[in-house]
Amino acid sequence: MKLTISELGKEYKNGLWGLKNFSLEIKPGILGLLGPNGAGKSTFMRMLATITKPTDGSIRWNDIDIVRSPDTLRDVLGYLPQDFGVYPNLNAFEFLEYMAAIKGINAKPARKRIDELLQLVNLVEAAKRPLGSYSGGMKQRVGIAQALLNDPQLLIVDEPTVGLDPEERVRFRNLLSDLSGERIVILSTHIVSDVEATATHIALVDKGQLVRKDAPENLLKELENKVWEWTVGSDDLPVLKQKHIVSGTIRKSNGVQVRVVCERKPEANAQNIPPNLEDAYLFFIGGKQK
Amino acid sequence: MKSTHIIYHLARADFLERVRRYNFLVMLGLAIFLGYQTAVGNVRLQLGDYRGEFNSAWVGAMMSVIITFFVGWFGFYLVKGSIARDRETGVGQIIAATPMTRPLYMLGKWISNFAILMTMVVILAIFGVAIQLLSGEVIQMDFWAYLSPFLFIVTPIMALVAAVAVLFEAIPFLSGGLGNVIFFVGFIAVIPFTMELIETFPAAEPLGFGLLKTDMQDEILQVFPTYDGSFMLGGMDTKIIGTFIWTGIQWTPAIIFTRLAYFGIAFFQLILATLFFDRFDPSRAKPIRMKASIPDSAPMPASVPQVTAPRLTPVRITANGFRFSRVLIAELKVLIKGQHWWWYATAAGLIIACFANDSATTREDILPYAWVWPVLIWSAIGNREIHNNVQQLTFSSTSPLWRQLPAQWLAGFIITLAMGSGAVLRFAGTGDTVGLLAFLSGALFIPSLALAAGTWSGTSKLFEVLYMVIWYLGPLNNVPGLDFIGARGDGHPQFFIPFSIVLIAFAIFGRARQLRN
Repeated sequence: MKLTISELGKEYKNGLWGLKNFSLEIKPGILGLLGPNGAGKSTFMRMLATITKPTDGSIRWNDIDIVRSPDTLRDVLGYLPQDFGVYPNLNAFEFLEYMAAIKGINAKPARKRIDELLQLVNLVEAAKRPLGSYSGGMKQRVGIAQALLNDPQLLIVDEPTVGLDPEERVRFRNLLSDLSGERIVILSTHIVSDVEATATHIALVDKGQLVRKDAPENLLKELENKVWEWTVGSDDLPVLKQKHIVSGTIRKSNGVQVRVVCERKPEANAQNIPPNLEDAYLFFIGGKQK
Repeated sequence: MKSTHIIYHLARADFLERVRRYNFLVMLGLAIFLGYQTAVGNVRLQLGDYRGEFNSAWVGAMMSVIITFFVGWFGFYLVKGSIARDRETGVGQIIAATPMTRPLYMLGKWISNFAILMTMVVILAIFGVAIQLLSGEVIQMDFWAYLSPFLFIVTPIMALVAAVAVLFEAIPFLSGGLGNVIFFVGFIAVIPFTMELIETFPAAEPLGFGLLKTDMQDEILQVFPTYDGSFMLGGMDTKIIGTFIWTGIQWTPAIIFTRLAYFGIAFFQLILATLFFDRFDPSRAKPIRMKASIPDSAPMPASVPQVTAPRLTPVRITANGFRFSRVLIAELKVLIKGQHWWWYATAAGLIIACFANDSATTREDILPYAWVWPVLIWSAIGNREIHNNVQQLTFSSTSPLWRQLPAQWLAGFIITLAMGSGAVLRFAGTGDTVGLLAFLSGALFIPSLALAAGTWSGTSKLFEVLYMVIWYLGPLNNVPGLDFIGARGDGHPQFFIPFSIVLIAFAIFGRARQLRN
């Protein structure tokens, strides 16, 4: 099972490229997509989900071109878009039945699957209420359930934890980890800790291009001896931010404790500390030039 | 000063947002089409068998009447939706969190609506100049005589329509499809009442017919004493046997004041709108109905303390797993769910009435109403995915074109058949084969039109307006060629059956285009 993306590009009508020369090979596991707003993550995911046609390049699912034969992928695809709606007069069970029908799942296994999914996303008690009365987080959970209806081999989730409370977020992360065995999961998020907890690989995207794809441990390894911590006076902070990548600050009684990503020791009293993915993200996305 | 600044920017932003949309091009296209139809004589003003010489006063009056009638009627649908867009995009809640007051917001929306309608008026006014010059009857332009009807007849009515659109959007039950239908029916229903004003207080007749007719008939009777007293918008099929010279209205202060009073009525509508407007507070919105067994105060399900995911049974998608019947049932559920009990009760009443009456009565008087009752259900076909923002979920499923679209059409067809089931039994019982064939052709036409209009426009509005116009002109008023039900004829199945197939093909093409992106 593999997804091969070659020289993928999407040009919009205004002549701007949402994505350009994007190549990637994805194998079973969780790929975390990280990048700033407007980097092209959602465009990329919509192309993988067969919603948007690429302008250039190809997407191959087990060597079959899905731009030409989208249904090959659609049968095994679960997709949770960043922004989606529901039919407000249907309840969760009816909506999932509707989605199961158009996904071509037989009635009996569909009902069983829906029951399990409603339990999984913690909506059993609310399953008979019209979706129009749901909160944002509850609708998001319905979205997660519909993405898992057909037991997808490729699961694409765009900002899946938006609107979820912390407990639901942890539950969803665990679910993703459980699901990831023999399938490909592509997770796009701004919440670095979600990726940190689940991803087997990370793709850093910026300005429509792939900046880096690697295992999290390799990214962290590259940052070893590049993350520093010390305390500065509040007045010195603006100058420091201009000079270095500041990945964190904590107010203390004697000033501000800063966390800085830097190739060399920036200050005499700076202490070297272990890096995390947030440091790596800032370092690789636009921070290197500092 | 600060309020003026706020209103200006609100109206400006709203206007710019709208003129940059595809819909605005459609509006301009409609205005140009109407202007062209007038220029080639397919639409014209006439008094009996006579018309005025094409001088500035006559052309200005003719264009004004055409605009108040057509733009007044359909302009409502073109401008309505601005507040709904703020609600759907979430901009409304951002605006609601600012110091913007409800009257200012309503005023800004009204100005924007008014500006859009006046853009169409300006286009048609330019056409009018061209019509006069190209006719060659009177080359000299008299700008006051030409523009004064625009100023005193058209402008106040555009202001009124702009305000009614704001009012309908502010009142929850009028903000959707029901409001579209009510405005359509209301516009037709109000005309006979306002016509009575022609005799008593002509300047107060809103569309300008009264004022112009009273003034013109004094002139025409001096030249053509046989004039029959009629005043109408005719076309190529109506004959003209003579022309007369009309130099325009003497605008007295009383007439001007009466006409400008429509601005006052427009402002009254805005005040009403302000009272009804919920300021984007979701808690004031109509709650979605729930089943009685589930109390309104049902607590939100508490999160379970453990965060381990339950095990899921694997699902196998097989090639033969797809069942069209299941998609169809699901589509039917989506279409009819959420209706009030009285909707079903009325539908049942209409079905029974179709069966209980004789064949002719059913065709002429009952079936037309049975086939207008589900108009808001049909109008969701083909655009529901976009309206509810579900398209990313459904379009990424297998074969969205060949699995979902036929099911949507068939669901609409079944509802049409169900609403006409009483009539079918009646026609079959009495051996009315003409009625049966007309029924079949109408039943094919309605969901096909809905699917094509919904797929291409992405909104329910196009079908609601198109269908209501065809329904009003055809089955109700027996305009030749539009009686798709066969209320007073054979229903033209030789046209409507092939046309339905064309509409379905058009819808398939539209959906394929959406999927190609």
